[in-house]
Amino acid sequence: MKAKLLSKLASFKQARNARKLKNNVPRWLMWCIFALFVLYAITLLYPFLWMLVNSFKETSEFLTHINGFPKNWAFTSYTNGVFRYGSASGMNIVQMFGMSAILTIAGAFVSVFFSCCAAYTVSKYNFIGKKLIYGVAVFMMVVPIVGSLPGQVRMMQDFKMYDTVIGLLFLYSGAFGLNFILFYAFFVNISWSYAEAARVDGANDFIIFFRIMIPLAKGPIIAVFILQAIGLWNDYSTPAIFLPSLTTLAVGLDEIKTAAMQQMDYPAMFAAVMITVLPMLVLFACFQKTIMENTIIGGLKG
Amino acid sequence: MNKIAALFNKGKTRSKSTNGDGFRKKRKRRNSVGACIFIVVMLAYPVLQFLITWLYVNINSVALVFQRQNEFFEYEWVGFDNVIAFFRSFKIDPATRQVYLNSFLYMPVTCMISIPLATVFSYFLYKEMPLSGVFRVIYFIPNIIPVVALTLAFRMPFEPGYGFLNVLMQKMGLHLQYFGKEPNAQIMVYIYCIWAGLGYNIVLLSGAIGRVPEEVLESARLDGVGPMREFFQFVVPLIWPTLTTLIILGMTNVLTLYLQPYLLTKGANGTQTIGMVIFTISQSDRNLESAATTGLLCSLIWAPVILTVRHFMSKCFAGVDY
Repeated sequence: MKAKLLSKLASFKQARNARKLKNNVPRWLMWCIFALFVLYAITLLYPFLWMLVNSFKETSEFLTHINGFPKNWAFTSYTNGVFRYGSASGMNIVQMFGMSAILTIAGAFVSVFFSCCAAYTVSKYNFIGKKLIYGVAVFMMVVPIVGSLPGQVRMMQDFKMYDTVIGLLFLYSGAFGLNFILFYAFFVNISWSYAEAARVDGANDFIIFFRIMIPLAKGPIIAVFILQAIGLWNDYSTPAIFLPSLTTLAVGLDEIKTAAMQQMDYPAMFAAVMITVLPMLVLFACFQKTIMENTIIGGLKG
Repeated sequence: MNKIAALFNKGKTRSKSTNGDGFRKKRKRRNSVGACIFIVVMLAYPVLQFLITWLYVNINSVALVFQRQNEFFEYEWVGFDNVIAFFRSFKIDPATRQVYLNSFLYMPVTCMISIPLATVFSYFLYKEMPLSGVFRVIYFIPNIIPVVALTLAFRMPFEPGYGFLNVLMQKMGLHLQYFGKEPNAQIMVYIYCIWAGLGYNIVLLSGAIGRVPEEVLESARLDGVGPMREFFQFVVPLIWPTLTTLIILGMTNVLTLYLQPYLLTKGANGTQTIGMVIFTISQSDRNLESAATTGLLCSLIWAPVILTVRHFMSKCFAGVDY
């Protein structure tokens, strides 16, 4: 008993010494850096908290009483204010929200699904062109071809997909991006013996993929899905160019901002920002651990 | 069907002969007909989508460089006219030169300010700073908030009328125009990029530092290595692959970045970039050939530079993989 306690104490001491050794930075420097960290965190948080608080003021109150909490908390900018402004295409904020939600969920689904399929096939099967596909995926990440935007517009018009939801989803369904590399790295390290065991039981390649491999890759798939969804929700350029008549929230927010600023209707503008930002903050907060574990550890290497 | 199987297996047998004891041999598995169907079905859509959105589009863009719209909105072949026009505008128009300078300066701003700063920040986050977990989550914020909202939040303190930094500066007797004047606006856009980019880079770099085995750094510390040497001679080389990627991404910014200045200033007061010029033209649907020419020529000039930098950076500390 005593020996056990002693060994425990020793290991505790060892851990403490290791930590002491790790924190070999002088104290004063540590506190200076800490102050910098706090400062940077404040610059990130403060504007949004300030907007949140001010979105509960009436327009007249905001103009006379800018700093501090509202004297009476009013929800008018959420119930009326944000509806006063719409997009150039004539959509109000609720319609834009719906549009964004549809595109985000469907877009994240097709993009993750196809990159998962492609990454699995390329990593686990041998066929002609396997190396070419992987090489092209890496090359596309490293070398940007910027002149292709006008060509892309022309292609979408040629295929009659310009300004349609299907067209936008088609653009989002690209399989060979960063997600492909992430899934590839994951599947390469999964042992093939799972598949062999299933094959003995009579499973074919499709069953192996959908019943065994996808459940095994649940963690990375959820993490990539959430990150992709956040990216699509926030995407500005693709819907702005390829879907001009159906405005998404990220694009519409810019139009609402301009219109509300002209009317000096700041609380409504802040409310619109909050409506855009909050869903993703909630999503991130819920899946924070999965995202951090599966993407940061996987890393990004070129 | 067996023909297809034979086709698929050709690559396999060949690679087997060149690479006798690779992982392929371990698997000892020939693609059956079922496997071939699986490969075709799984890859059909991704490859088709890629061929259309990348190959078809890029061939189209290259063709666009040698075409021009006539008065009936039809495209005609014009030879090298667009290319000549590109170099001429560069020569005679100072505003165009300004665009290229603005874009080019994003490279030093990202690679020499943002990334080094983020590396130092991540190093201290790793050093068990109090509240480091909280900071890590807060610094993720720029990645989950739309650029529209982020630019709005950044401009807020500087707005005339209600921005608190603006009010503070005026009380000190400084009447500055932040976004309304020519050099100031561009400087503010760079500051924004550092501010917002810091969060993104910290998340990736602290992930990389976290992957470095603790024993490596601990043994260095036991040998009496101080924090300065630990940072420059151990941490930086050990996370080199991630740094390389971030620097490459920073270099591609020169050609692709446009959204931040577009949303901050709408390109007014000398804040245009190459990407913004192309974006505005693509939205307007006129004069597409000049955008295609600019994009293609810039890619042709810049891509070799990026690939060279990547080549030399990956040689720098070869064999490190965290």
